[in-house]
Amino acid sequence: MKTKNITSAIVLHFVLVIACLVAVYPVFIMVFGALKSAQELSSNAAGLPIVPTLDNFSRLINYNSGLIVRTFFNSIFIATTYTALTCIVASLAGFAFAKYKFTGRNVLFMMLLITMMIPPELNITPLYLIFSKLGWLNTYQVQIIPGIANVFSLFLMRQYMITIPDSLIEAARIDGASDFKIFRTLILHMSVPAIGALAILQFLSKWNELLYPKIMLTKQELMPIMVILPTLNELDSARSVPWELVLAGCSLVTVPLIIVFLIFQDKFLSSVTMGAVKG
Amino acid sequence: MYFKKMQSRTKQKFVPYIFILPFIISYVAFFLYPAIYSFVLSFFSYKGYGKAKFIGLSNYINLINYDTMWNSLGNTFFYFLLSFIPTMIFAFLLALIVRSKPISRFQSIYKPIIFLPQICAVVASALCFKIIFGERVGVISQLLGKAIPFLSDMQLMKWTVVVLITWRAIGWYFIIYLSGLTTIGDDIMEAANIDGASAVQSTWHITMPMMKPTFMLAFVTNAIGSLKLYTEPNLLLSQNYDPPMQVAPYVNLIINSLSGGQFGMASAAGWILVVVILILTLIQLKFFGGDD
Repeated sequence: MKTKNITSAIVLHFVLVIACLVAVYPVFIMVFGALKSAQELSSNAAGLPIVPTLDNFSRLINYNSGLIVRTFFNSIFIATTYTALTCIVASLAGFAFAKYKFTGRNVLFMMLLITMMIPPELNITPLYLIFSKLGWLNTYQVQIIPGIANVFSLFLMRQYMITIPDSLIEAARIDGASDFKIFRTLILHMSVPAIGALAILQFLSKWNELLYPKIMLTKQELMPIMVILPTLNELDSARSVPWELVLAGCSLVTVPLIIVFLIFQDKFLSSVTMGAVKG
Repeated sequence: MYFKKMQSRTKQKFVPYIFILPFIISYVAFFLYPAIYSFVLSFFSYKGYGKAKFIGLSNYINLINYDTMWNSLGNTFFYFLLSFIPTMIFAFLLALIVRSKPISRFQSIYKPIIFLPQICAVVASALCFKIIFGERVGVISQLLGKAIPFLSDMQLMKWTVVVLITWRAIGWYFIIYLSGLTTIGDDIMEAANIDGASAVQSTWHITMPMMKPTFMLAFVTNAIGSLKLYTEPNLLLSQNYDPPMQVAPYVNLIINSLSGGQFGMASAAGWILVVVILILTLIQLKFFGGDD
């Protein structure tokens, strides 16, 4: 019995180690590839760098007079502002849907849930027309404002806030706190785990966005870095793609996030579970 | 006194509306209005300037008679179904293993590593897989010592996209399944063990049925997400967002009509996608939803 347990443990560990290798190897190729010269990459893309160099990163920083640095900060600015606004708007509305009875509440909520089925891709066409008339194309606001009211975020906040005991709200009210004060001091305070989870999910989704900014922007200096990275390919000519530079760019957007992930991994992983309330 | 009370009561009534106001304004302006606009637009021929011309169902009829529409819809379904199956199987098996007795105390080591691909930006992973599957610089070609046309052979191209999607997605569903398994609780499993059920038996007869809501949720969200596929095939299979028709996903149809200035057609293509998602979700609810 004992040896059987040990063998099965070994087999299971073995399977998991293989899975981990598969998960990590592409990241390994990316990060170590970024440290190889073009010449080395063309003969040794799979292994560790033999002559590691930071040359690609200095090329990346100087690429197109600092475009990469600029767009990297664009991405951070856009994703952060978007995340903050989404969290505020969703918390306010989530509180109302969770803790107030008002005319039309249930009908409105059902309607909102049904529209979750509509993919945002549908709205790219009309939004493009609307924003071109408003003169919003090639701005930061076009990348931040639309989409801050998303039903998924509202739903997540509402589900969480429903679990806050009514008695706490009543007690605060008897103490003379206004509704807004209750929201600000009590509700927001108690919803920190949900807001944190929402912030992680929204930041990652904005950070990953490619199609929407690609349609709405033509000015490179306003773009997020994700739109620029694939075009690094065309630096020289279509035939000689500077792969080492592409890998350096990919590492630039990946490594900082991996570090943050490793520090706050519990928060990241629980955000997945909390986000799974959707549906 | 009475008046003051009245006043505070009406004020009280408005409070929830004030809380939802920012959401609703933004929702109507940037979601609902555009959605209605695109619905109306889908019955018009509109080039973005001049007058829109009402053409009834022509956009829809043209799309339905357009081979490329079916082709790209087929491609999107290929990517969806062929990544869906391995993603769900591997994610669930890995969750079962990590949750199993001899392993569960090492959870905290395996969990973040298996989740890691999710932290890689989609763009970065697609570009990285381009190097893995590349012919000249390709990792696999170098390891095998011969060039394999992963990114030029139409069949192989589609499979590379499946591999990329699966690689990224497993970690996400692994975490979801793991948390689903955690809610089942050890006592039920122990009771089954004492009754002499083998690991396979108790997984099949106890775990699987209890995980039904979790599966359901995972399947539906995966389907909705997969049909919107754009970034992976476009970056992996082309230089300039123009992959060959045989491998292009459905969203490319919307985007190509949009960039071609055919806004009515792009809107109709968008609404066809909505209908497809709706049908698929209903089928899934019927198949897996059962009683609830």
